[in-house]
Amino acid sequence: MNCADFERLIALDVEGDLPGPKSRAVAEHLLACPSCRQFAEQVKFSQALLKNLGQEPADERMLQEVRRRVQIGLASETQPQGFPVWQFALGVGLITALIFAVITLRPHSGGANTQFLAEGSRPANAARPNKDETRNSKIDARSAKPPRVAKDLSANPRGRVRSTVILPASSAAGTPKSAQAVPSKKLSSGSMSASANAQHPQPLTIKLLTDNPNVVIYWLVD
Amino acid sequence: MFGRQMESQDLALSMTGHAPDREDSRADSARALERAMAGDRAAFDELLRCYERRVLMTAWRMLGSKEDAQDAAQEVFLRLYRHLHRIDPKRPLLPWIYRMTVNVCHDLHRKRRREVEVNPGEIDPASLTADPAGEIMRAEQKQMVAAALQTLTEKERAAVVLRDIQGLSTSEVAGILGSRETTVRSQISSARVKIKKLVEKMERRRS
Repeated sequence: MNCADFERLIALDVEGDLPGPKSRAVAEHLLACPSCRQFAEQVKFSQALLKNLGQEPADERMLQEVRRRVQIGLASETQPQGFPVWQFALGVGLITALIFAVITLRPHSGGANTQFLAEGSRPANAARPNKDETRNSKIDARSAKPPRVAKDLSANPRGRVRSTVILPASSAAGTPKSAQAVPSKKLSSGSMSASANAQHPQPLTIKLLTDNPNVVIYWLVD
Repeated sequence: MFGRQMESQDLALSMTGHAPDREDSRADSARALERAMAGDRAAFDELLRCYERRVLMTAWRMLGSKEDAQDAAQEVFLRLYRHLHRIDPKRPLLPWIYRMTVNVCHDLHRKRRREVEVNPGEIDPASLTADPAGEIMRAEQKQMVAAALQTLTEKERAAVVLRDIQGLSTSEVAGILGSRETTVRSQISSARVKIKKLVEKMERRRS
């Protein structure tokens, strides 16, 4: 180490900020180096001046002025303790309103099934069976498969749920052709339709297909 | 542990005016803080009187201006009042006070960026004693050092004011500034060398 390196150590050593081994190295260097000894003396002098600044008493007028200003500031402050009830109430109200707005105004995505469209009850639709309906006039077991249902639903822009009306055999015989087309469209459960008995009046069964392939709702209308 | 000793001494001196019994003073300090936290304005005044000198002097040496120091001290105590409910009464308050003082001074310094010049003509004649020449010289030297402080970087100034003017240990300074001890030592060393060189230069110019 040269003298320039020692200067920084000397600046620490004059106030005892150096650990033992380094302090001993500085002491040995100071014994051998007159210019560093002079440097150390000058640092001690400037340090003494610096410490004098700390011993200077604070002006009482300055302190009084600080107290006066703090008291004025405190007078305009709110309570530091206590639960800020009105702020809490306002916050809760805002959050509740936000959640309510999000729930009510949220566009319906494919996840939830909240909209029910009873297509089977629409005469216009029933009166105009399209190609698919004709093709699916027989019981189509494939329509019960989840992928097929999902495909059908994605093609329907109106809603997330389709209904299928399963008429009893006795009433089906007397219904117009257009009405018969509707149940034939989505008859997917042979067990339900096959249970129709011509001898006894059967309840009207409405099958609701949702876009969730695991959810199928049957509605029995007496 | 840090700050308890100085803190309790301050509070005892401010409240009783004589040498403190450390354990009693520590308990007094904690009680005053707890009472202030419970909304006792008189207890807050005790805390104010306990710490005002340290805050004011630290701010004065960091900012180089009495007016700015008063502004800083006011802000520190208002922040203390606002943050009372967040302070842990089991921990010493003094490091928090110093940290807040340093932060407020940094904020004020950035806002104002005021040049502090040495002006020996501002020495108050009323302060002169039987040795006016010696008094003038000492006053000039103080002003030289105060001016030299203002030439340091903010971090160096904070470190050296806390270590050399307020008399805290290096580890305490490191705790307040949120730095490592080695960093603080480096800042202090650099600051002392700079101050020494500036004082030397001013002395030469004066002579």
